[in-house]
Amino acid sequence: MIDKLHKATLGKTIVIAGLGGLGGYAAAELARSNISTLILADADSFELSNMDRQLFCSPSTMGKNKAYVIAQELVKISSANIVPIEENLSFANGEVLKDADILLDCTDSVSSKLELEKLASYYGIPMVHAAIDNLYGQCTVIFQNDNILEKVYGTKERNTLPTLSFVPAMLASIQVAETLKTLAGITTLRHKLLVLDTLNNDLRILNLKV
Amino acid sequence: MVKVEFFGLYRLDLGVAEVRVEAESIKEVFEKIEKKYNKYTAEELKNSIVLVNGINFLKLKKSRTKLKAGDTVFIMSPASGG
Repeated sequence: MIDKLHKATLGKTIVIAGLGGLGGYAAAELARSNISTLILADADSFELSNMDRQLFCSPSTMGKNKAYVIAQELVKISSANIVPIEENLSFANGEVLKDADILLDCTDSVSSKLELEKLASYYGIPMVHAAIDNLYGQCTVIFQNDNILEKVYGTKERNTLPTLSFVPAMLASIQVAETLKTLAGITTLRHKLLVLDTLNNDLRILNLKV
Repeated sequence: MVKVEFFGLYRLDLGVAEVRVEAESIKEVFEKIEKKYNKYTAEELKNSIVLVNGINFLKLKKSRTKLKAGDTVFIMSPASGG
């Protein structure tokens, strides 16, 4: 099984939307796989408030675009083609998904997550969604036309809550595992939401099927 | 009695994993939680992920879903940060 997952990324193009807590850890882990191309999209720059949880935030990267910084760092450890896009991924620049194999949603607002789900569906690729708040988080794998996120969020925007470094690290690792599994044809979280409460070490799999 | 399990922010914020309430519908569960904890309104709770005995309440009758003694209601606030 390890071999299968290791080979699953061979020659693949993976896109990460959002390079904050989740996206930074996910990018670092995926850079050590066999991927051919890693595309990183985020319009934001590192700021002081990111220091407590974002892997690539440091005094020297402060004020610099997150996608650019992370791409610069990851070329040191990866032979993959790492492409930064200093914009948020949306329908306006979504054509980058045309040749992609999978999208990771690491963004931090309901509206962007809903748009990315539609975008991935439009280009016919799976999306691995993750989100974190406080001391908990969630992950699911969405295939074309599944339309899962409205069942999770409705259409209402929500306030994001402060978190700590281990929460994005844990959820990003789960998200990367689901990415490799999905590329290997193993689907364990379709129509299901993995939820993790890190305070109580409580992990559940919720059925989202409607 | 119906068993209500909290997850995510509700569990962390209210400091309780589960509570038992007398309720004949999901709507009544939301109203009782609002009254008991005075923290989240029934309207806010309606926008949660809600499972009744493991089945998404969207597949049932949403807030109008009827409950019987021994049922388990799971309520979670979805995370949205990155």
